[in-house]
Parts: sequence; structure tokens; C-alpha cells
Amino acid sequence: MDIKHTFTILIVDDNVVNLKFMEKTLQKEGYRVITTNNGTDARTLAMEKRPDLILLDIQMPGGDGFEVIRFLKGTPITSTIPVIFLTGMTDVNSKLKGFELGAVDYVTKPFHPLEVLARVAIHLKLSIATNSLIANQAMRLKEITEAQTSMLPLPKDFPQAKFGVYYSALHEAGGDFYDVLSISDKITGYFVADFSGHDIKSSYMTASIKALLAQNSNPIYSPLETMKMINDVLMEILSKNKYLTACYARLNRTTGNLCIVSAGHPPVVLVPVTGDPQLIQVDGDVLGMFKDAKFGVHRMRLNPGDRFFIYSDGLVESTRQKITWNTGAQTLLTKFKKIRNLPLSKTSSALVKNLFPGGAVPEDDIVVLCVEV
Amino acid sequence: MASKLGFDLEDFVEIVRLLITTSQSELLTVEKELAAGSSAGVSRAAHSIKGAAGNLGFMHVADLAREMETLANQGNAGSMDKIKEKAAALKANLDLIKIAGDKGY
Repeated sequence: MDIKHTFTILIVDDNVVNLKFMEKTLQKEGYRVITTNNGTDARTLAMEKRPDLILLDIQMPGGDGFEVIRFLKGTPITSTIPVIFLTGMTDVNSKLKGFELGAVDYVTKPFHPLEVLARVAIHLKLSIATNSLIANQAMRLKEITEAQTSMLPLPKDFPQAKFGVYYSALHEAGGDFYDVLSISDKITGYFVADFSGHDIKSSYMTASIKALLAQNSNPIYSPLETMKMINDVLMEILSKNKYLTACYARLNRTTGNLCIVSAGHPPVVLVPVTGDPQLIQVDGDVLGMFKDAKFGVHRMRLNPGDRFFIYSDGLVESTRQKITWNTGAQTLLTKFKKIRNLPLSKTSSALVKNLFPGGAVPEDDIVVLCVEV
Repeated sequence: MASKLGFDLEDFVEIVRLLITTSQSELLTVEKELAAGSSAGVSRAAHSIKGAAGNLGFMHVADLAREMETLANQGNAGSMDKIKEKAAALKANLDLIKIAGDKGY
């Protein structure tokens, strides 16, 4: 609600004198007022005019007042409009039922205009505060999403790293993370991590990992040392049920040497210039769970034009089809043959499209990093 | 009375005139019901007058209407005469209020 907003109040009462009484009371204090003397029109007016607050006589003929509240609270576009009901002083049952149905307050008859005004004002203030809270939370999530996206390097920012990427997060505060690190002129690090949860805390974790990776982005720290250091820090800050899988590949374009360190992550796929795609299976413990974690290390020599893919398990796993990445990764290899000649910028998204044809919705976040030697 | 409720005189007069008009209409309904030997709609009419009069500060009128409502809810054969008395008293009070209103309170 805008602070300069003129508040609209809908008054529903079958007694026309009470209607006029409340209308005059509110109008002279600057409120815009809509009135009706029956429940049917009340429903229509609430949906059409979206008042900021509703004053509702509970004791209309035929128990209509309760039906109106029930309708308002059961209809999405009117469910958040605060309802103050008007009731007789000794009618405890009506009061209880009104609250049960979702009313925020009541005014007993006979009511004094100043009491009506006071209650209307306080509930409008509460409504503004609640809406602000929701708006702030939404903005916070948006900032996190923007921050997370801005933490993810783009191919055009790192042309010498020769990579393509596909990234999608299932929720506003996504859980997958990737980074590309310039270790030296000819040495580049490629990191992909997958968190176990998709809540806001995960986004704070990715910022932490990015900082740790940046700290180790120099030739004196090996990929294994970097992964161990990340594990030590995560052991201190992650809660018990949180862990991540990660893969860190460091490529030296001068020598063609690739070093892969895996922390329980799906296998890297190598697509050589000549020959069939192959899985590089490297077993290792996950990150953040074991103090003395053992990570898998694999070293190999690549040729110019060779490509390798690091991805998160969202690409291959399916809870619905009960496929884990151990078995799911095997299905990937046939897909890689189809995309091997595509430009680097299109490869990752083409792979995802192949795996999720016809706009099928993935069950998890997805990162696919494709690197060309 | 107007200032007690925070109304200016013009608004107060407008609402009171509405009270009189609607209450007199309700009382006509009551008379017809009683003439037909029924008190079915009396409770609702009395409830309506009670609420409106009470809000505007006409407590004597509200009390009469409340008593009439109670009698109508009891539904005794013997209540009919008492209801008629209350209705007559209400009418007289409303007439007085109307006269006062015409004179500008």
C-alpha cells in the first residue's frame, strides 16, 4: 500500500441507518466508502473494488454475514482484506465464529464512531505492515537471486576460459553453483557444486564458497588442497543435514594437463575430438560432512579441441523415474554424440533440451559447464 | 448529541431523519403483524430499530425496542398486548424526535 493511498472501506449492514452512520463517520475522516445492505452484493463489490478493509454486520438475515466472511477468506483475491465484524455485545458465539472464519476484530453494537475509526485505523496499519513485510521478503529473495546470478561468470566475461554454460535454478534462492577461475594466463579452474537444500541459507553458502575459491586461485594451491580447505571451512559452518557435492577441474592449456577432483559429484564427461564420449568416474566423499574426507583425483592429458563437461545431478537424476546419477550418467553419453559439433555457446543448452524434450520440467536445479581445450 | 458522536449538525440531522423514516416503516410492519395476530417479524423489526437508535444515542428508543424484541422472542400469547404498548411508545418517541428535528435540535 502506498502511504498516500486513499483507503477504501466496504461496509456491509442490512440496517440502512447503520450504513449511513458508518459511511459519514469514515468519509469525514478521509476514507472512500462503499456500502451495501446484503451479502450477495458484498461479495461482488469486494472482488471488483478490492477495498482495503471491510466492516461486516455478522447478524444479517439468514446468517449471511458468516457466509460472506467464508467466501472472502476462501477467495484468493479477497482473502487478505482485513474484515472487522459488527456484533451484539453478548453474542459470544458469533464473535468466536467470526474469528474462526478469519475476521481480525469486532465492534459491538451500539458502537461509537470513534471506536469504529480507531479499529479501522489500527487494522489498516497492521495490513500495511504485513504487506511491507511480504514485499521486503520478496525483494530480499530477488536480491539473492540477482546476487547469485551476478556471482556466476559468463562466457563473454572470460573468453580465454573457452567455456559454455547452462544454468537454471528451480527456486528463487537456487542451490547449484559454478565458478570459473583464472589461476594464471594459461591455467583455468572450473568448479561446479550442488547443495542438498534449496533454501536461502544455500545462497549464503555459495557466496562463501566463491570467496574461498578466489582465495585459492593461484598456482601454489593444488585443486586437492583447495577442495580440502573448502571442506574444513564447511565443516564449521554447515548445519548437520547439509552437504554438497562438487567437482573442481583445473586445465593447463600449455601442457594439456587436466586435473579433476571430485567430492561425490557425478562423473565428468569427456568428448574428445576423435573417439567416443566417455565418463571419467572419480569417487570421493561429499563436502561438509566428514572432517577427514577423501576426495577422488584423476589426471589426464587432453588435446586441442577436446571438450569436457561438468554438470550437476539435476541433469541426470529423476526422483520420479528413480534414476540416480550413477545410472543416469550412462544415458548421457549417447546425447553427447549428437551435440559434439555444435558451437561451444550452444552445446550446454542443446544438451539440456535433448534431455528434457518438449518443455519437460526438470526436478532439480541444473548446471552444465562445457569446456573446450 | 451530534457533537458527542463527532458529527456536524447537518450530517446528524440527515442520519436521524433516516432513522425516523426507517423506524416508522418498521413499526408499520409491526402493526400489520400484530393485527394479523402474529409476532413473527416483530423481533427483526425491533432489533433493527434498537441497533440504529442505540448508535445515534437515542437510548430510550433503543431500550423500548430491546424490550419489544425480548417480548417478541418469548412468543407468548400474553405478550401481544405488551408488544402493542411498546410499539405505541416507540411511535410516540419517534414523533417527538421528528418534531425536535424539524425545529433544528
